[in-house]
Amino acid sequence: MFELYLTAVIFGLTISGILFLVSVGICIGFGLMRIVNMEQMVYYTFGAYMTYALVSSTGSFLLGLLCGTLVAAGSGYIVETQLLRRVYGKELMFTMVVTFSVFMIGIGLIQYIFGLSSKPVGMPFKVIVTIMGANVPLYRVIVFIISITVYFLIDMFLNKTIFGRAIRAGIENPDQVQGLGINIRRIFTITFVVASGLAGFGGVLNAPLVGVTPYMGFEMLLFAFITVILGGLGSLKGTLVSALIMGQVVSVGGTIYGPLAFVGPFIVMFIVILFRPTGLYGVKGRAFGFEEE
Amino acid sequence: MNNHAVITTKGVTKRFGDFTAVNQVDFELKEKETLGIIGPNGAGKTTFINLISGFYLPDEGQVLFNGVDITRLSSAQRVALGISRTFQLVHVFDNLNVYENLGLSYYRKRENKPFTFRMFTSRLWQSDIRRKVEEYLKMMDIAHLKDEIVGNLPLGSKKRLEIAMAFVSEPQVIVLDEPFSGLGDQEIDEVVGVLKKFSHDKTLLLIEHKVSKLEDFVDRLAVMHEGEIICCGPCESTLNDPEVRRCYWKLNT
Amino acid sequence: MDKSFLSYIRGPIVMIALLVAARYLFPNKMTFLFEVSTFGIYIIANDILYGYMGMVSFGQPFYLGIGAYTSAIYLAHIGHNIFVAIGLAIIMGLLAGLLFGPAYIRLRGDYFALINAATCAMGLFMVEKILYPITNGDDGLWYRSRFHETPFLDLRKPADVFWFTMIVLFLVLVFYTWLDRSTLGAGLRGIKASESKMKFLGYDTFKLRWTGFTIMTILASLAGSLYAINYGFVNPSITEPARAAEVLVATLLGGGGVYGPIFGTLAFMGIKDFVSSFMDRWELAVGVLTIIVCFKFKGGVWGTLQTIGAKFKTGKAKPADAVSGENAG
Repeated sequence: MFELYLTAVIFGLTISGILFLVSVGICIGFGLMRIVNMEQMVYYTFGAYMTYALVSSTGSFLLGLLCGTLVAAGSGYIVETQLLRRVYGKELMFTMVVTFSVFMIGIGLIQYIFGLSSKPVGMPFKVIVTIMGANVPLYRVIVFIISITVYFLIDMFLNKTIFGRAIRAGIENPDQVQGLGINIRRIFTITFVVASGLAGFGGVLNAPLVGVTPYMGFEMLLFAFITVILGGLGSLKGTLVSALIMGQVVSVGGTIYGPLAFVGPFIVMFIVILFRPTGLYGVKGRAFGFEEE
Repeated sequence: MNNHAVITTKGVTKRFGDFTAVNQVDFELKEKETLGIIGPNGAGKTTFINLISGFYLPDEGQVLFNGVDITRLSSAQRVALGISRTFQLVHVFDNLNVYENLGLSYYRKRENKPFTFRMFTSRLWQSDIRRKVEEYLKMMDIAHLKDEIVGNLPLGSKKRLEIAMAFVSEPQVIVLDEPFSGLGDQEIDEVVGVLKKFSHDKTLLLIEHKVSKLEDFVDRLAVMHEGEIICCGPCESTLNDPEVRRCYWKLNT
Repeated sequence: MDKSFLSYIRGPIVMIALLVAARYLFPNKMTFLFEVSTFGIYIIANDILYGYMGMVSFGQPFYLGIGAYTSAIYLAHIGHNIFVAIGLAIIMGLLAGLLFGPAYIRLRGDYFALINAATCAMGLFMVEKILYPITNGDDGLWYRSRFHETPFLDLRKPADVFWFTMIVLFLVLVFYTWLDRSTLGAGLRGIKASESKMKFLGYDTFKLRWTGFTIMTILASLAGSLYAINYGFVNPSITEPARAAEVLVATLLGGGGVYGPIFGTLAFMGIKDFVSSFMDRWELAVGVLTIIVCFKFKGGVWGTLQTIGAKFKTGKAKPADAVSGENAG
């Protein structure tokens, strides 16, 4: 019994890691660009499919990882420079509909190229490690460790480099950054490309765990939104903590009662939105009251 | 001008952090008078009328309306009592036409309720609403724009519409926040023309930083400087007041 | 400016006449036309939310599902009368609006959209798992054989269901026209443009929103009920959150106004029908189309038609219907 739950906890950590990686873009979209970034999961899906394509043709997971991340970052660059630029500053509804359309186009492209059926992706290594009596694939542990490393890298980047500080200042006060003479457009583009690269990276890592389907982004999208809202809009630390919580809700909850794996996060979101709309670390997550002047 | 005071403030003060935007202002607005407040940017004019219309609550002091303390009422409650205002940046419904904008404003006054299911059965084209709205459309010289969508109108027309929306609900006091800002000379003259029509039988309070446009129709002129009203009286005497000359003209040559 | 009774029914009559004409011109497209009519009611419901109040919901299938499952459960387990089934669906829609409204409509736009998605996911879970004994989960409920004959129109026959749907659509359109011209309609649109100004004028925007939200849930529920009756079965796919996108896209394509939703539905279903004949799925085409509509035709199909109509009349361009134009996106 204990082993069962320990396994669930470790599986949950893996899910947390993936959730964190794919949520960064949405978190930054909320915080820095003030848009609702519905299309982030396109990059996640692209990353996963690139891995599938390369693993099945060349057998090299590392190549898949590299290409998946690059393709995701590249498509992020195209979308940001060609489309999202025209969306900044518009109202939330507009950004939601536009980014959602991009999401649908992405799904359509995937279907067009790869078809509708879901495809399995082979694990890069099949080593099983035993942690306190629980048998866990090493791959899952590594995914979690990588995600945590990514968090610390981002954190260091934001705190230690000038560029990172500009981004942080942008999140706290976008108008001021413009006044400081920093090219906010470039900041937006670079941040966005990094974020979409991370989403793609998350997709690559998740591909061997769940396989790939054109609709894999849908569920992940809702889960990612729940993560960001629970963490507090625009707070990276909050996103990490809530990703950790969400992973356990999905994994341990699902072990206790199967359907909780799907519906648990929504129950969490429901409660958070209604009772603590600012989230765990949110400072400006006012959910109540409409657009104030 | 021996009418009773409609709005009285007693020592109202508003601070933002260390900055005192409005400092111990005692002020009286009499019935049926038109009073202009002038002062440079940052003098506290807008904060002051925000205190009167209920957008801010004062840190100290009282606001009285017809002798009743309204210091703690919200802006919507004050509107219901009869203090209406316009905004420096126009607030109108861009997706409705001019007629509907005015109709919504008058309908609220007519029903005298914040919400009623009669809204579903009634129409803004009913004859009694129409009569009133068309009367004000004519007075504001915007009758020809009746069916235009407001979002497509130039700023001057929107300003006049917003003023009309304030007037059509027939409040006791109308507060106008920089009604001329952002307008060209010709548009300003149009708005002034409209305001002149009302200045005799309505109680108007308006703020502006250019004095030239106010001179010919306000009854009294007040000057605000660093959060205080330093002088208040008939136009000429105010403008010749030594303190005003020292504080205001120096800053605004 | 005479708004006589006739002016309320003239438009809806033309609309229905067109649909009926299409039914006889293309006899094999009857199911398509039925879907357009029903989906149209569903889109009208969403347009009250989006076009009037400016709120986006990612959980519309939930409200559709309420109606569908209410009718289905009644018909499969309790009674046989189709009209009672529709009545119950409307009542359940009303209750849903009254119940969820106060909690949801206070939320900011993005939160409102997402909490609806959460509700929708939980609704799906309810019908799939928790209510399994009465909903049959993924297998769906089948109850066509339990229908009793109804007077005048025999709703067991698809052809008669089509006529019945036409009547319902006509009534909904008249209602919608009435709403559009009522003070309530102007008030709801006022909220979209500037809620703070509405509040400032002294309106209780909370109750206004609540009313609008409840009208939405009732109409969506009615549409769901019509689906349930036409097909004779329901399964949980009707409440899938993933299908929330269709609603938004169709609403956006239509672009506000009284007939926007119907035209939007026609365009959306038409494209879907057309695209799926040579492509597996339709997401790609619909996505591209939505972006084009977002940036180039802000008035949607109906708005663009009106602009063209105005051009024709006056010889110069007139701005599109601003109900959904400008800041609608």
